[in-house]
Amino acid sequence: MNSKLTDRPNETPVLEIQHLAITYETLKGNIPAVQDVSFAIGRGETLGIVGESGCGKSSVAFGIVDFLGRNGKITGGSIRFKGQELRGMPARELRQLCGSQISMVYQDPMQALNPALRVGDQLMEVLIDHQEAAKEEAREESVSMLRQVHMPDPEQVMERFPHQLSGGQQQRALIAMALLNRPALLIADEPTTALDVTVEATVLDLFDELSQEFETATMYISHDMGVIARVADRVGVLYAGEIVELAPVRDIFLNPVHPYTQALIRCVPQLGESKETCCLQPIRGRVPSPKALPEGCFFAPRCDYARNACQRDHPLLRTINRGSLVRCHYAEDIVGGVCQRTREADLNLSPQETREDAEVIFQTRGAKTYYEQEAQSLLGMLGLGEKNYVKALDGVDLEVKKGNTLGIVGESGCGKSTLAKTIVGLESLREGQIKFLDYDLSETVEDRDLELIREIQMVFQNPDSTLNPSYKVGRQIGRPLTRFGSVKPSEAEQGVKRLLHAVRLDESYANRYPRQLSGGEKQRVAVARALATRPSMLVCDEPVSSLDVSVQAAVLNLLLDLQEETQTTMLFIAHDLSVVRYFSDSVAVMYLGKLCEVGPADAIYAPPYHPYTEGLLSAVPTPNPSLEQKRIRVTGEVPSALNPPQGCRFHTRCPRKIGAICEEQEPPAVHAGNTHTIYCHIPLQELREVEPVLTQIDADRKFAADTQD
Amino acid sequence: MLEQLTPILASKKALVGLGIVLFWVLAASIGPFLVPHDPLHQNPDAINSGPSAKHWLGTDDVGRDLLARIIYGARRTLILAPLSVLIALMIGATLGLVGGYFGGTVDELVMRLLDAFMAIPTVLLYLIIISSLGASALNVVLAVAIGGVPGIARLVRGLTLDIRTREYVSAAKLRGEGALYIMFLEILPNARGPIMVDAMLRVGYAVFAIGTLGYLGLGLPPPLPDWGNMVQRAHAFIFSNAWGVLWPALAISSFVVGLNLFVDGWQQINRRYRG
Repeated sequence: MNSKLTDRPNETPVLEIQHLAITYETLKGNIPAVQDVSFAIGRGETLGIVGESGCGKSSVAFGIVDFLGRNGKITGGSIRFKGQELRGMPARELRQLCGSQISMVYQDPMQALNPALRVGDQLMEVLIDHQEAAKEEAREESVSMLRQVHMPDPEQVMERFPHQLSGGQQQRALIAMALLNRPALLIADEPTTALDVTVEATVLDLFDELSQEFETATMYISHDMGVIARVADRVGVLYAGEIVELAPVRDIFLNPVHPYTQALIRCVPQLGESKETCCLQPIRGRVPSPKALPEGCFFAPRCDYARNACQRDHPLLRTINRGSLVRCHYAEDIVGGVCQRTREADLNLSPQETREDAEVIFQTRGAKTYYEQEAQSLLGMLGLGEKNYVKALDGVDLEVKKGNTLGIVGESGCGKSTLAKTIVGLESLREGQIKFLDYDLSETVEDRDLELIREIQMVFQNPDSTLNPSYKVGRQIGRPLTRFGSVKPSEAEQGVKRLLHAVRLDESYANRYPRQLSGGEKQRVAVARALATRPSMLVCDEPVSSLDVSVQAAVLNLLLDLQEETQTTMLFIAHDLSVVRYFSDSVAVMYLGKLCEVGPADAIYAPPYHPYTEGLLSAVPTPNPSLEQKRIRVTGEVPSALNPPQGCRFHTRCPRKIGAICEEQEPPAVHAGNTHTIYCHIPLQELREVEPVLTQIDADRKFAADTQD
Repeated sequence: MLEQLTPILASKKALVGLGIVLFWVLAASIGPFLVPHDPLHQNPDAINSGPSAKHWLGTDDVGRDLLARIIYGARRTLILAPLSVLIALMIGATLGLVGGYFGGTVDELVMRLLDAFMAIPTVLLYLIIISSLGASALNVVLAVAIGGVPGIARLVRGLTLDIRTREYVSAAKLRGEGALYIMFLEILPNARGPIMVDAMLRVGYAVFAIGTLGYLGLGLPPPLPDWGNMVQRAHAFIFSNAWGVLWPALAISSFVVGLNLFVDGWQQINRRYRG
């Protein structure tokens, strides 16, 4: 992955953008989404564009292919494709160009594929339309391309419809479609965000392979720093519609210069860090609205290094050292203070020992929750015939001590959400036992005592639908306060203020409607609402997955503080391994409704590993330059929970499968430590001898090795 | 509130529609005090006459002033049509919420009941109801209301099926809120947009329905005027004095068009603002 642009300085870059500006016209006025973006991509090079939501990255992509919608206009700058100016080109010519030489891969593969056409037809259409190929030729080409993207059974897939493919397969089909015309430029807009981690890893590998083979210039957009670190040769950081730093990938992660880049890296938990040793530093303030940009530098209000000149003069993008561009007045003065993580001074956590000595207040034994599948046959509709069940949760044994946090991690279909809903009572437990304090949690919430209901509360995933849009925030926080009689209606206002303060929001928020709040603020209100009843246990179902990284850090810190104050036990469900490791005391890894491994957080992230845990850890894209990661790939897709594999559920994809025993018998619970349990047939001794997935190394050596590949 | 009015002011269509509706509201409320003639007074000398200096809009077949009858008729129509929609809303929304929220057998029962009602042709339904209950203002309102219940129930049920998957509804369940609370206080307020739009349109349909009932002779008993029975009576004389039909017909259409324009314009603006 070397910077090919510098190798061939005289060649015209495939894409060259200068001072691009894009504005959207709305009823409420013009919104300047993109202010000043300039970069160039050479043949075979991958430029990563990273930024949070609202920074304009998708607008840039759509602007290039003239897909801005009715009210979007390019108001400045130039877009040159292979030397040809795209602005002002007649629409027809542009469409021709876009179809044949510029391709785009979108975020949601299900939406990008036409559900009414067979996959094969959609692939062949690309060739037939643009290259006027004959049908047979088009078919051959398509099958061969599907093979190149490692699609299993390419001929079969040609005949299938998109909904018959899994997410990973759909995305591969899209990539195949994008590459069929051998485009000179490929734009990828967060193509792996919707995919599971293990599938994402294989798709990222694919991008690597293909960009080398076809020498496509790629523009890769993502909000995930880890993914960018894996695929990009150079990185452009976007903030409020401008590029604030543009540098080779190694410099961005080893020596970020712009304060925003530094802040971004500082607020993301790196794989392996925990709350005891590290502190996430959220970026204070909010991303400025494009309609109300500050004077001077856009980042100044949130910048730790800001001085007077920053509020007055708008900085320009300038060269710092060979290959790096930064938009900051004081770039030279800022020494790379990136990975300086402060110790627990900020968090005042109680020592680990007191947490370990606490009593067990939550326990499950063989918990099973099945969903009945709708009747497929006539007999089924009449209530006869065999019933099919989606075995979402199929026998899980867990334990949590008071004041501790259990993290539950796993990919889609593993049952973690079902577990959360069963505990909380939104789903009914089919078999097994769940004990909490003195209660038995086998009933659904409608049948539970009010006392029990107030002890277990939940924070949901989607901040946009977690609050009722019709009522003010104050009323929504006040309702649980008064409902359980803990606070008299006359004192409710005081109670609401107290809760708002606890989640670090101003009292004035009580009079606002949810639509007036940002995602992070809504999630804080959701936390306040959940804590209103002073529950003993808080179940958090992916509470930060939908938030920007800088906001994520703030909400995570908030939860940690609150846990410290109130000693609430937490169940933290997420798919992001770094976040789970950071946040939890113990971790459970789930796959297809069963546990793979449970234990203290540091034990999970070090050998002995369950093969699935090992695969997960090596698949997570991590932006830490001083961490070497093993490359173990879990191939294939998660099987259906309707018909899970016999024996060990993971055997169909396990890279360490030992033989027939894995297909026939369910793995035993092997105790690798006093609370560490692994469910695997492989003898514990062998698992202990496996090398760790992550090792600390010298960062320079790592990048040097990479560039030699 | 002000914030909700801005969309209306931003759309010309909505303003025009609102203007028409307000005109009729004004006519119905103040008109009776301004109009010189008694709508019930029969003038045998001026039967079926066209517009003249004395009778601005002309007279009907027994010599009653049309202008006065239109204005008094406006009052009846403008009270009864919205009232019937309100009653239909209350019953229909409840049925829709219950069916959508509980699902399963309850939903099936509710839906099949509504299907039964929808299977009967509307006019026949009116006939059945009016002929069994008798012709009076209240029964007309009831008949039109019952006719509108299935449509509203379906709409609300669809909205409920969607909204009940929202996380704030789960959060309410986790507070131990009862079904009634969740249906009427969590779900219903968030469905009010489409429901209100539908309701406005239904007022238009209700005006027509009351008119139809009047036309069929099932409507409000004479001699009190309403636009529908005016059309019914004058229709027999349409070739000699078309004015008798024209004015009430125009009144009905303009009011319905006004409502539709208002709702249309409002929806358009709301959609643009959101996007």
